Amino acid sequence: MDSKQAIRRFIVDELLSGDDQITDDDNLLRDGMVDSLGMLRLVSHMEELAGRKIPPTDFTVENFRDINALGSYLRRLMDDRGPGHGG
Amino acid sequence: MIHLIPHLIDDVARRDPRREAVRFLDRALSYVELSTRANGLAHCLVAQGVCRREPVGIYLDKSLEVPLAMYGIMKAGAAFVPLDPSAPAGRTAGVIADSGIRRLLSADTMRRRLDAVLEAGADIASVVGIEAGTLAVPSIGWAEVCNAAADAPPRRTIVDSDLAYIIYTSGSTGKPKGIMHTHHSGLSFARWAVSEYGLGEHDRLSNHAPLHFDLSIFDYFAGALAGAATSIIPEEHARVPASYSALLAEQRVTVLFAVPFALIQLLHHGALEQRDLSALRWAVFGGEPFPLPQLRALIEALPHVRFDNMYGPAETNGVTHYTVGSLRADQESIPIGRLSANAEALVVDGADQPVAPGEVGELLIRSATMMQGYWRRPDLDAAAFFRRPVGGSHADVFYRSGDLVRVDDDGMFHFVGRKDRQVKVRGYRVELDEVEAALAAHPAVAEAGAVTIPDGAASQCIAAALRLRDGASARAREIARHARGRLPWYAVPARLEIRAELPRTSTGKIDRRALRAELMAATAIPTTQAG
Repeated sequence: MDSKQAIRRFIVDELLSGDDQITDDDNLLRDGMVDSLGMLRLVSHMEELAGRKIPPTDFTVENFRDINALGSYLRRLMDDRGPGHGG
Repeated sequence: MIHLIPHLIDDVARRDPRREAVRFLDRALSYVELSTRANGLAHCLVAQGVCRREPVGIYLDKSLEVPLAMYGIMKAGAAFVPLDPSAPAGRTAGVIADSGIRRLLSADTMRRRLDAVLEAGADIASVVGIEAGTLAVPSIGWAEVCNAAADAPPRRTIVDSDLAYIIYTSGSTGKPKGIMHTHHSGLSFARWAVSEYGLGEHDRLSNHAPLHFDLSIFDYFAGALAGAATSIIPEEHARVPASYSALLAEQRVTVLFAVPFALIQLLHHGALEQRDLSALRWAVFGGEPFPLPQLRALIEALPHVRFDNMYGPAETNGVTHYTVGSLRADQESIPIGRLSANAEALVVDGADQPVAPGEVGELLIRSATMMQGYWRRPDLDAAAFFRRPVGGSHADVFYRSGDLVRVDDDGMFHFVGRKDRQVKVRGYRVELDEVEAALAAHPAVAEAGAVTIPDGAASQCIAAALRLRDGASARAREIARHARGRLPWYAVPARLEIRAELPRTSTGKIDRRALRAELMAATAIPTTQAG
């Protein structure tokens, strides 16, 4: 499963009670779609998938805004180059 | 003379027109721009037929249009009603119906949510902020409103005891209730805050809370009275700590006011060691108690900042505050502080009799910052107000806070707990009865019990268990979705279980204490869960 699909599945199943109407570019942060505790769970899940910690400086709007952004960020995180080079 | 809330911005606009009033990322409005555009909006609202004291809804994400909408509505002699832009459409339509809102201020970016609210049955006559001709009801875009800036507001008789705004909060019967504030109560709070925190025109406040959360009143009104600038923190940044801290640093914010949870997030995920927050002088928090281990760590991380605990229900605004000094190693909580000089407090027992000094009782408050009452709810007013006769038909009116407090020998108030089932989640008030009512409204649910449990992030969340009707079948996930469609995000149970039976007290009621223990035992709050 690619990184975007993994993120999408976690958000729909674990944070949105299975509601799969969300699109990949819906703003997760603005519309109260995912609350602040949900964000923390998402961070933990991504750390588990990537097998590494997410540095606080990466916990930004650009990386966490929507499923598309999260997917690319997770891919970078899993990359050998490490998140420090990703943005 | 400043006797109405919009006078705050008009006054600065006159003496220092170009001073920055509000900022949203790289866009800002000076005081004169805010004042003249709000005048234009007020003329537009009057032309649409908005009456004096009429409630007008603000259905906007955080943006520069928010302060414009607030001041424009008040300048028209009407009262603004912030609507939670993230609430389910049905709930928003319910608040619109309850408040009698016929006119809304919104924006094209809200279009999808606005359509859902209208579909949910909101009876709206006109909308400002949506391009003309695109809605079934008359509308006018923001560009047109801003082009109509005017030097003076419409001529309307408005006095300081007139209604200025209504804040909706969780109601125990499952129906949100509207807290009515006047120009006088809002201004009294702004004056108290400016004086207590020594706010001035060189300050930059930050608006972290959304408008429907009463913390925002401090940011806007105290900021304007001080002639300071207010940086609106976009919702995205408010939820992502490293972006929030970067914005605080870039914009050189001097005063922030937020719920403890937001500050704890900054501590753990805000990359504080990489941010220059040297401009910050006050970190004021309120809404719920701050856990001391995290507060200690935050004070250590930001040693130059003064931390302050402000207390006051939305019904009274802030009425006590406590500036945190050195914390003893064995200290488990901090006081909520001393009472404002222009307020009176009674601490009473169940029979409204004063408790002995040092004893715990309910806090009753009387102050200039207090609400007028609940919108169209004389039943709630009767329950919330305590009247102390002062001769003839006159009485001093106190608000029953429902908060249990103790006053120490130094006159310092300490918050001890609640008298009822109201809880705080991320600083937001939630009535557990409302959560249970929302769950029980699902056709398959016979009864539900809701409690709070620790959320593993130094705050608490809601957990619930429910019993299905005989013969009914439903999955927990389906009922959770139903709850998400009725409750604001912070009131939706983070954990939901279906049980064959709920724990009972000897009288047969749901034993919520036992239920809480069971749900806590069953919950290692999921910090990680495999997908």
